[in-house]
Amino acid sequence: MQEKLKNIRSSPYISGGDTSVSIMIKIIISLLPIVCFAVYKYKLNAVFHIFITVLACIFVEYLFCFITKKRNTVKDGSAVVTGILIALLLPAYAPYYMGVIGGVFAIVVVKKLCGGIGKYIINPSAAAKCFLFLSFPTVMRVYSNGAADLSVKNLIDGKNIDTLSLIVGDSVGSMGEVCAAALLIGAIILVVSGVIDVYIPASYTISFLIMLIIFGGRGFDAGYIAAQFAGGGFLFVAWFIATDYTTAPITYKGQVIYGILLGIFTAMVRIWGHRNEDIYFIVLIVNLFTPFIEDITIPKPFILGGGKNV
Amino acid sequence: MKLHSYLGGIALRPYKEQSKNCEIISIVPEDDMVYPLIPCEGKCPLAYVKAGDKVKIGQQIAGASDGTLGIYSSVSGIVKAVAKKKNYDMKIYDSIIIENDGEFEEGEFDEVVDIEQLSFIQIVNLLGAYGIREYIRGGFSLYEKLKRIGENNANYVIINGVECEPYLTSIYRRFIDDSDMIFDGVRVMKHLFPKSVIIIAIGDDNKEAVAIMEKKIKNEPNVEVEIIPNLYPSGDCCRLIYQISGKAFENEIQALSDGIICINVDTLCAVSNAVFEGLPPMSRVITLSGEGCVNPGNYEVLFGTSIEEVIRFTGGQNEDAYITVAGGPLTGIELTDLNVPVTSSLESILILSKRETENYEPEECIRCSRCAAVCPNRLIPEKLFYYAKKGNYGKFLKWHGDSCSMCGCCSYVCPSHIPLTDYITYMRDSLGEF
Ligand code: SF4
Ligand code: SF4
Repeated sequence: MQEKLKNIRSSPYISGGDTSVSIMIKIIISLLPIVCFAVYKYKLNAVFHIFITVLACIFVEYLFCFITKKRNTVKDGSAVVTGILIALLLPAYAPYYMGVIGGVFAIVVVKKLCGGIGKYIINPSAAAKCFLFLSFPTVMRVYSNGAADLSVKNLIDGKNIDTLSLIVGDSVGSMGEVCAAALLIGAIILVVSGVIDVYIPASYTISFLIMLIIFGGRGFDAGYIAAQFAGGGFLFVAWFIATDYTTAPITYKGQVIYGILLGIFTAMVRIWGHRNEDIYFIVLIVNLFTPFIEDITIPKPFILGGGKNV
Repeated sequence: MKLHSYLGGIALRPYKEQSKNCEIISIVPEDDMVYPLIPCEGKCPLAYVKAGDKVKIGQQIAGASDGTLGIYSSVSGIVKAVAKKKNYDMKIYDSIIIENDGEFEEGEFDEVVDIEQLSFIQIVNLLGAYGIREYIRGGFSLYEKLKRIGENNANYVIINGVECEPYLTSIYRRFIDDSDMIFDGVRVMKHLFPKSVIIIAIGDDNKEAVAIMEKKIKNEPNVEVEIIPNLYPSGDCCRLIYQISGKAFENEIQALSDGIICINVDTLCAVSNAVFEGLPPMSRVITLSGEGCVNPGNYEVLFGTSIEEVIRFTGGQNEDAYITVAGGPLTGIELTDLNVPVTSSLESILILSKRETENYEPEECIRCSRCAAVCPNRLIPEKLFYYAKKGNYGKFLKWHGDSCSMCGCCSYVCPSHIPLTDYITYMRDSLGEF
């Protein structure tokens, strides 16, 4: 009886749907088009970067749990996702130890020291990118094999650039940012498999669009706007970074506000800023608003008229 | 009628095939019967008998001081004792224990009076004396509900035949096997509330039940069958009232003041038995299901029969049996002791196999917001869980933790298998002390 009481369970006695691991696997699957394109374009560079970064993340996560005698959290798969994201944010020609540094920073400082998954306050992948960018500004901007980073600069300067090349992945940028088509395929997988809601990307896109039209100085210039959307990591941030569960608000209204804030800040960086990479700093800044946004968007419960499905 | 759909809820795998097509079988008990004296709305039934008394079927053995909440013996035999016994919900009540002599000797039942000659108040008093309570867990007494709504004040009488929890099939079976009884119950309701619209709500997976009831009510004005989309928890009375009337209430008592009364199908059958047969409630139909039981099905069980005997009578458990649950899989209670009586609030006994009820270790919340997406009360269970863990009552209330209806949806979907409902329920229950 005593033994039985110890194991007594509470309802519900059945459970369904996803598990944390299956969600992480879905995210990894949706990252595959981007990974494949990176491997196709940068060949072994991409393979090594991804491999090394993921291994570093897994190892550091394991080591941290081991040293602090916490439960081993490697098997939830979030370290793999963080590793792939960090690797995709690296320029293909950066030294391989970049991924290791970024991974250690993201996992230990940003994620684990803040309490682990579900508790960290800023996005680990974006934070790693910013950290590397600040610490190694030169190597982190070598986007192509020696050539100057023209199209990224053009994007900021608002000159005419070839949108088509951005879409099919002919531009320069971090490994994951270059091919808008691959990013969109990944985004579709994310939404269709039910991993994310579209609130954040949609409100982000719309507010970014409106800002560009009003303040971009070119009115509604389709080529300019398409280039802004397709290039410079906007899609990557909108679908894969900003939608990170932990750092985005959990309320739907909050997610819309969060997307709008991101859109406004991103447009400011693109229109008046200097560097393309600042978009990742924007994510970190807006992440800090999340607890506040949640507190002002407490949804109305059912009995107070919430939950009307119209 | 256009249904109002609510946000949240989950489409569950029904698991109903096992017992859906089993006709209702009566169980004949042999062992001692236990009748717990469960209080209701501040009143408590008191025992009318003492150890050594001889009782017959249908003899009143307990009742509250104002004549309501009657409890009737469902067997004949000798009262063994009035002692404290455990109920299936782990609470301990004074209970009357009757040694069953196996004779099933019938006592005297009340005269049946033609319903047309009974006034509203007479029927309400009759149902009160018979102690008919809603046949669901935590159900109110029908007497209280009818008295509060008052004569002629009901706009809608909703007959709740939506069986949204997986495994449960007893209500579906009643629609098929006892449709006359249900129809008689509807007639009682029509007599009580002649101006109201009576709505029989049936889940959309029970097509046969819908067909049967539609045929029955064809010539009745102001009686409708409403097909409710199969979503959990559509059968919860607040959700049901919302879907039909578009008004949200915290509980069914609040809805009464708006002229909406919601009555379970099982309760309705008890009403029809009471009014047309003069029988006090002495049994109910429960579903026995799950991979762990040998003969799943729908069984009519006399109140007071122990769950252990029900399982034994139906062939027992097989080697897959892992846990036994009283009630549905989402809101039920795991039984650690099977020697507890069947009462009117027990809807089902599930003997689940290990495979059906895989027990996962809870992990860290990943803030995926799936819990918020399914919460029918539009709460953010993740936040409530967070504040419950911290014991922060102020924030818990600010996030409307008090309006959780403990449906279990959030725990069901949580990919990290966090028992969110438990944390929230615990916090809610301790709010009183704060
Ligand atoms: S469903 Fe579970 S993991 Fe997801 S936000 Fe809710 S509590 Fe956290
Ligand atoms: S148990 Fe409470 S918090 Fe969880 S889904 Fe149901 S109503 Fe919402």
